[in-house]
Amino acid sequence: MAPFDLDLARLDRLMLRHKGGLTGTDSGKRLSNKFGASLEFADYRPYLPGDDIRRLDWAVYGRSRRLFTRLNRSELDATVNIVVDGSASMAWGDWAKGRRSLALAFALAYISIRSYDRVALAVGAKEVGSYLPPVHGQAALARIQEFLAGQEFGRAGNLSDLLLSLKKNLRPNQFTVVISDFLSEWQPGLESIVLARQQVLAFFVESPDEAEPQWRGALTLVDSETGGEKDVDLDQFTLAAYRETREEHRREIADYCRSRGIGFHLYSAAADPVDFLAAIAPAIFRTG
Amino acid sequence: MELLTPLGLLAGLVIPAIIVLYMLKKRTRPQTVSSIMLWQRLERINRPALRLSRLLRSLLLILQLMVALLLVLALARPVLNAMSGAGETRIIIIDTSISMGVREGGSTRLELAREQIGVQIRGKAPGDRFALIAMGTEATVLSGLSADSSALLAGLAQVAIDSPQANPNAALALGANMAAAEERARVIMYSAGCFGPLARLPLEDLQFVPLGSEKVENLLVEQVVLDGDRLYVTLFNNGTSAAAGQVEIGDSQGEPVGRREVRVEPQERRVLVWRNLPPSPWLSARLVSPGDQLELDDVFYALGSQKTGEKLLLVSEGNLFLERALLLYPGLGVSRVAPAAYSDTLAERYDLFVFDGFLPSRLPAAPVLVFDPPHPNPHFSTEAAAKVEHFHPLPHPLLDHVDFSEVSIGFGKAVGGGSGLLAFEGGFLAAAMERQGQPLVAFGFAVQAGDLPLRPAFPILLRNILDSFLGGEAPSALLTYGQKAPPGLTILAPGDSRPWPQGQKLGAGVYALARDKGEEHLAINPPATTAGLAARKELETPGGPLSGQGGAKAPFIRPLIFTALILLGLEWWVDNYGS
Repeated sequence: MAPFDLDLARLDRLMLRHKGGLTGTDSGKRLSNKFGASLEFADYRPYLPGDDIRRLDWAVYGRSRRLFTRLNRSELDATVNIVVDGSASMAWGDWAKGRRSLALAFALAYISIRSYDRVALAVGAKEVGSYLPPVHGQAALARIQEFLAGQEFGRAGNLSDLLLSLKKNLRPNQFTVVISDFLSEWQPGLESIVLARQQVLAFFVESPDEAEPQWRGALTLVDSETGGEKDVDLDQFTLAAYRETREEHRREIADYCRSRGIGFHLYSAAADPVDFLAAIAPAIFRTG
Repeated sequence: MELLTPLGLLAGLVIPAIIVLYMLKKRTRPQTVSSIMLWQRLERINRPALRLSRLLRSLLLILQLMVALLLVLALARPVLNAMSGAGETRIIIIDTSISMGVREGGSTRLELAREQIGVQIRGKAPGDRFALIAMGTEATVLSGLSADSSALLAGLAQVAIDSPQANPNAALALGANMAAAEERARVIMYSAGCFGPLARLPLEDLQFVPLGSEKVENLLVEQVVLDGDRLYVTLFNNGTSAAAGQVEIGDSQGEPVGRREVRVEPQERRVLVWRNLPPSPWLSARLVSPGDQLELDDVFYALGSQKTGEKLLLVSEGNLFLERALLLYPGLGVSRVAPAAYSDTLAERYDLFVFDGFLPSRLPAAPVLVFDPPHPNPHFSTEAAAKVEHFHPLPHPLLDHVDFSEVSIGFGKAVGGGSGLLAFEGGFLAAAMERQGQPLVAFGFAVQAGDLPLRPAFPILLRNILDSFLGGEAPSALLTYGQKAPPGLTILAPGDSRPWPQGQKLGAGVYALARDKGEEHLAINPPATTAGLAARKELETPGGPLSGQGGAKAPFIRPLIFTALILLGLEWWVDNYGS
């Protein structure tokens, strides 16, 4: 049975697109700016004694009678840190945002593992509660699945605090993927991981119940995390105002992300994660 | 504007109740959400949608208050004074014939007329003046022109059915006289129109308010005659379809002595005969017929047969007052001849004589009553006619119960001889004497010389005189249905030993009339008619048909409720669109 009931085969040829400057420890599929042993040509330089003669370009020698050594780019692996907001709000609603977010995280981890990248996973509410250090290789998928399947959502959360607590696990020039409903303070946390020189992807998860509440009339709204209450007489006009407020909130996050070079994507929990990733693939993936 | 049911305004307490309900905190139901963060932002932001929501909430309150206000007003049944122009005069003629007793849709035509007129009176402008005229066999002023609503309503309360037929011409003539003295006067007639063509209309502005429908079912007791131990009951179906019923005969003690089922075809007259009935001073026939729309004529009282048969000769050029008053005497045959046709041979064929403005050279050998005797005449002394300033009655048995206090006489002759009945400046204005061993009563004035024939005193005076001429044993027939008990007569209520209150109208029943020689029974039966009872929508007049028009405008309850419903619909729309 496929993990999280996802048709992962559709994601086999995808790889997170990077902006360059990635650092890695082992060889992988990602070309770095360093010279290495990949097949991708980078440059020529005059032959120096000690160079591997297999790298001499005999065609150039035939035309110019001078010896040049071919330089190829180095291929490294990348580390993809996937952070899932584990606050109670993520478990609310008929569409189980939390469960869908974990599935989305697994799909992203699967893509990364298939791309020979390392994947680290962090789940927490106000701080990292569960952390899976970077793993790689196909065998790691089982660990990743086991890690994600064991997560629960039930605490009051703060996305900024969570990201700030994650900072110590980050190294420069890594991917960091944030999956959250952004229903708490978020900006300082995002700012901190940007400053940690992460290439960041933010997935704004929302449930259809939140986007379009079906209740009407006089209500006392109870916060699923804090238990706080708010009396609302929910009529058509109040609902319109709520929609407007929600849209403003989303736009605020999107604008910030755009200004800080963060990829921002709205993910409806009603959608299948694989379908969703396939739909946005041109924006964040390249075909490997 | 006036409120017909001011107590309905008490329902206005619901208005502050609505406001209080709006001020109370709404009962909410809990709803868990992922986070209230975004909901809390709503209050900090003054959005157009929220402003509209608050506005609609206020609009809801306003609409609900308006609906409540309109419904409260409708309960109070307002009428606009503007329905009648200020300073307008209305002379309202109300048909009081039996046709108005037809019950249709739960109320009689008369009740319907009374309600409509009541609405007009209560809703009239302060400057409006109304007069009420009852249109029975004779026209009677119930209330003269007045702006006092309470007085008019009191007059309206007196309206009752009292006649078998209406006399529209008399009522219209009276109404026209009253209208003639006013600048803006309208005459409005409330009637079922069950009478013949009108004579020339004495007024231009007549409004006819038709009451009732054309289809009426009526089975009535037309006549009951008690002849010894036999009873003849005549029924008549005055309706449009066959009627079945039950006739119950009751004796003077109210015990049933006979009962029969009967079925009568439309316009059929059926006579039922009961034989060997137990002796009783009187009997009643009561008809019970389902579907009968006129209850008033379902009962009839019959006294035992009277021994009469005397014949009276009125010698006169023509005097309707005298003729009608004499005809009231039961069992008395009245004939009239002109003075020129009188002869001594006639004198032998009659038992009583009344000479009006004439006296023969030889008096008949019978009781004689004389009005306006010639001066001089060979039978008693008279003086020349003179103006009568004051006169007063003298104590005499013939003047028992006769009230002359309201009677005025213009000119009269002094009458000499005998005992005086009335005295004036010139001597006796009337006197009783004997001639040839027969009583003779002479009045020195013509019947029309004053207002005597218009007063109740006139028929009672005649009655006393005829009683004395005939021996005074005949029962009184002066009183009719719907008439007020006249002063001076002691009338005992049916089945009761208490006197009938003076001024109260007599209903159907057998009354006892207290007299010197004991009690007389007096059967008063309700008016009945075999003429059609179908209401007419237009009247026949010499100038062409006069179409009926609507009566008083009802309180504008319908517009109020209609507006309230529209507002309620709007409120529903706002409520649903907003939530």
